[in-house]
Amino acid sequence: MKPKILVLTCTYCSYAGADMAGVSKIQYPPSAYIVRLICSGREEALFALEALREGFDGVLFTGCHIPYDCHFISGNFKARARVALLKKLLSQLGIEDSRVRLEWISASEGDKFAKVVFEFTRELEEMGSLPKFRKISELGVEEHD
Amino acid sequence: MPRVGVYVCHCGKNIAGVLDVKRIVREVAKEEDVVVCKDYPFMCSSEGQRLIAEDIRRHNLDRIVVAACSPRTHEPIFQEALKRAGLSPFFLEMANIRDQCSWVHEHEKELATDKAIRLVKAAVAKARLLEEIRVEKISVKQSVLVIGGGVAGITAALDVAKAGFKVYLVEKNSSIGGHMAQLDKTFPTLDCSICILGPLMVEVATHPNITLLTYSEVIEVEGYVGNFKVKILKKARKVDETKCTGCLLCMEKCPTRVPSEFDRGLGERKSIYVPFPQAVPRVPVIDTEHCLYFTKGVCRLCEKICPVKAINYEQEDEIIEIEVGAIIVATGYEEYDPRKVPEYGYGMFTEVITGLQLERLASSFGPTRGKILVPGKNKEPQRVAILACTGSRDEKNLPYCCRVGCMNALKHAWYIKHSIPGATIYVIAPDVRSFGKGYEEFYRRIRSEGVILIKGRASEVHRSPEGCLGVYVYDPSLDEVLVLKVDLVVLEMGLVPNPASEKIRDVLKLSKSTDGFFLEVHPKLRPVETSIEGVFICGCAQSPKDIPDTVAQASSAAMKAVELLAKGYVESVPYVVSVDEETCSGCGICVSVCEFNAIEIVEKNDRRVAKVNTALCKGCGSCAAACPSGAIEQAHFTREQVLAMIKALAR
Amino acid sequence: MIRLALVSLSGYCSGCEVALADVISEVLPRIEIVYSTLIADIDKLPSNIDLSLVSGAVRTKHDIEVLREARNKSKLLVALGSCASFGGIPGLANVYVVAELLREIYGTYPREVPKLTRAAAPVSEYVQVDYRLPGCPPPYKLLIELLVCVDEKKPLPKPPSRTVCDECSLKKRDVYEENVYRLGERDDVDFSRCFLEQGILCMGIATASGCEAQCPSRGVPCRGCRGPPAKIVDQGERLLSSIASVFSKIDEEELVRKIPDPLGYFYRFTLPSSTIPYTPEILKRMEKDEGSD
Repeated sequence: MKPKILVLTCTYCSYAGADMAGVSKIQYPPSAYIVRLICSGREEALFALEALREGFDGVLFTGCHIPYDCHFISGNFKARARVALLKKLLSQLGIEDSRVRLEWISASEGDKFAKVVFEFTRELEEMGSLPKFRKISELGVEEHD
Repeated sequence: MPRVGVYVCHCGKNIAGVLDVKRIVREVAKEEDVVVCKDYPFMCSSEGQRLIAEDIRRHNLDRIVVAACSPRTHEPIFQEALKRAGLSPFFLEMANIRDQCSWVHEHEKELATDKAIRLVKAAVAKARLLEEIRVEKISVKQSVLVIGGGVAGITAALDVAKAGFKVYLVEKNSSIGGHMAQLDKTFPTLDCSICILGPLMVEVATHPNITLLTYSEVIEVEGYVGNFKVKILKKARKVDETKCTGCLLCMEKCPTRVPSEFDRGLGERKSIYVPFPQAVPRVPVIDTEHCLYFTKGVCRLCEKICPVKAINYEQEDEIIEIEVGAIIVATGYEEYDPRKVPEYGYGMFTEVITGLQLERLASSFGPTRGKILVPGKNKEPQRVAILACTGSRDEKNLPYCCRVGCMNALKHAWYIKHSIPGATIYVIAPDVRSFGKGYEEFYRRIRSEGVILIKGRASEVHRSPEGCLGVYVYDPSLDEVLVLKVDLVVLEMGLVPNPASEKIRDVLKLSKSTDGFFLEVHPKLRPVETSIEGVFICGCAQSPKDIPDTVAQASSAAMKAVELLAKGYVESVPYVVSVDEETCSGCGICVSVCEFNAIEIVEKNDRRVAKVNTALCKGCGSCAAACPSGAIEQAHFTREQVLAMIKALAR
Repeated sequence: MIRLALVSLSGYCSGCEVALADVISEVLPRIEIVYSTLIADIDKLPSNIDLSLVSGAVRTKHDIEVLREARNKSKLLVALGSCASFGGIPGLANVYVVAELLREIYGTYPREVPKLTRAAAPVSEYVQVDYRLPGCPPPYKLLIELLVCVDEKKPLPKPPSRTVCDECSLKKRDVYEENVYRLGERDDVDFSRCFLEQGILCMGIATASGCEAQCPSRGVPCRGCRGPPAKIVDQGERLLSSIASVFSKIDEEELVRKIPDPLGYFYRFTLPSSTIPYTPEILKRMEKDEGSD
């Protein structure tokens, strides 16, 4: 099983970039799942945390190229700042911060979209999958003597 | 309970050739609330659309999922199908199983089908939670503001006015005309510049639909597409425009002399002046920094001589408020500061001038009445070096091409050749880019007239021992460094955005490209639109360009403004945000993250709460992602909907 | 008269009990303390408890047993304070596996430590909770209100959906500094103005109201002890996404330099009830243990 990746995209650049990969028939692993938002400014940390808890191995935040390509002026800056703090948080939680990745992909960069998914997949394969989260009450008591 | 209908498209073999469509239908049919689940060869065909409409009626469906291609291309088509069946178009959700599944996983059919099943289930999960969205129609004010009175602004203003709409043309200087009025001739036809521009300037002044506001600046813009409220500062001219007849006796009598900005510092003007004889409006302005009355309290000669008592020293700045439906920004360019390329000695040697200065020397209404004389020497140059591409295509200065420098260099060579027939003229250029209609022909003509072209860039300009200037240039064809002895050096400076455009950018909240010019929405398909709806750009405000391109783009911007006004209304963006006032605690995070001034904090029952202006909201959802209390939600992309999709995909 | 049990779990600091002691003169006629190991020295849980106020996070096997017993014997069970409600400060230990944690605290491996659960948890992880009254300590007005409601058999108050900002009296200009400062890094802080607007981290924006913004009004930025407002589950995530958005013009490295401890800032009181409530190391360790059985 290939590592499962959640890809958060904006409508104008990265989602269109993913479509471009399709139109150009550039192949990438079928374990990447795209969720479309209007702008990378809508991409919040919760989507990544939820995905990692629910069984995704990695989350790819994408948007229009920084600094000037965002159709909503600065959504990409917001995504960038959130990802920066999220990565730090994950490392504090003992989760590899590279499970979250940020990439700028324009509407014309179908090849880049596929390349990023390949690269990310390879990295996540090396990391191995995250264990399946359980409720704390199911974790039980640790024997220590 | 929602009633969901799911339609899986084969797209011929595009989808069905890779994915097991029947398996998708079987799996998805098991999902909660799915009432109908079908596949069809071409969902977007009229037959496919009819299938959806029929099922909506027969099975009372209220949510539709279409698993097919990209919503970017086909969402509007299926939304229409829902509308025709009497269902709100926003109860549609698409699963992109072609562009983002079958096309990109052609060799892994099993896994691709598994993925498609998850994608469709995720779409169902979202569809179950979709809510009604109301789109409002907002009327558009039937007038346009044009900022900048150069050839771009003039063209745009006239086009809009001729289409029957009201135009306000605002120009910061005392006359319209812009840089084109300073040019002696235009390439490649060698038309007299003011002869073709002048009539247009007069037409602007006399057109019944155009209100011309010169010596004025836009200081504030509020509102949104269709309904902009604009504040304009009309600076005091100290001359009553309604009385002045333009006899210019005042200008004749004024005893002061000030370097002329219009003549780029090469000539002089008075303290009460029109910048050039063809100025529109032909109403002078008093330069209070140099006027003897304003500086020393004496003189008042202009007041005495004026036959119609138009001089008014007490006149004050005025603020004019207007409402417009669209705004066209045509703020133009400025020459790159030649002092930033110090190796060419501008400012050190009077014999080094810029291209625009040469235009003024060549102009019949310039400081030398059209005789090309070396500044400071007052004699005709016999040897001239013209340096194309100064500051342009240069990592240290401007990385981009100015698109006019090469042709200006050739044109300037022609000026000198025809003014001083025996002169030796060198044009030094890294390449000569003669890309426009008739440009290559012009280049051949100049070459044939004995102008010497040297491929390369000059490295330095020196004072040579003989008293003239020495221009150092490496000639690759000879493989040696030449030292050209010349009497005059002309620098064809790169173009930068007009410094005044920065203020306009602030006022309008426009984006700029890396080169500093205003950013268009799409360089090819939407070249005059900006990220602010209803605000259009044209001419050199958008990027450096020559006059034909500027005029074409100005007409294009005018067309876009007219399109908006003629339609008469704009539809509000559907995916806007809304605030739950009960939850909102007035922290103002949303206000700070909104780039479109769409949110403000208002007092309501003694509490601070956020209020969204849906007409300004662009629906990016940044505030929804930032709202710390969960009070803001974005329609069609609520947190609950997105999380439902993520959970479905994770299963 | 309420038959009241004060159930203090192991991860408690007695701050909640002190808060109760604060209000005791006002509510004394209404309550009869039938169980408390701290302030009444009764060590056996009686039956027929009207209200159990549980404080502290669940961290030991014994905690779970006491908690279940209290639940069985009580009509109402209320999580008192941030620890019982969300896991609280002891919940930050969830970034360690038990062995590591003990080594960190005791150095050598201790003998006399009760058997620890693999992660600290809010009370609601193990039993049904009728009401949560978070705060570190819980605001005393709310405590009185709760006891009065129980005594008079009125419906319990609604958990707040608004945040500390709603009650905060600090002035706002709705303009944020472009930079983040550590407290103490700026000597020109205006203590009459919103901290966050001045670039000083304040957690009030995503923290449930009810405390009357006591900290900010006394010159201390909010630390978030009241947990998330009603519409939010993961308080830390909201703080992270929100604060990152406001200061998004700062480049990434600088932002992480200025906010070096997002876990400590944003999840100080709520990690065990957040989206990812503990380090996955705990799961790996557990799988290893189970594998060796």
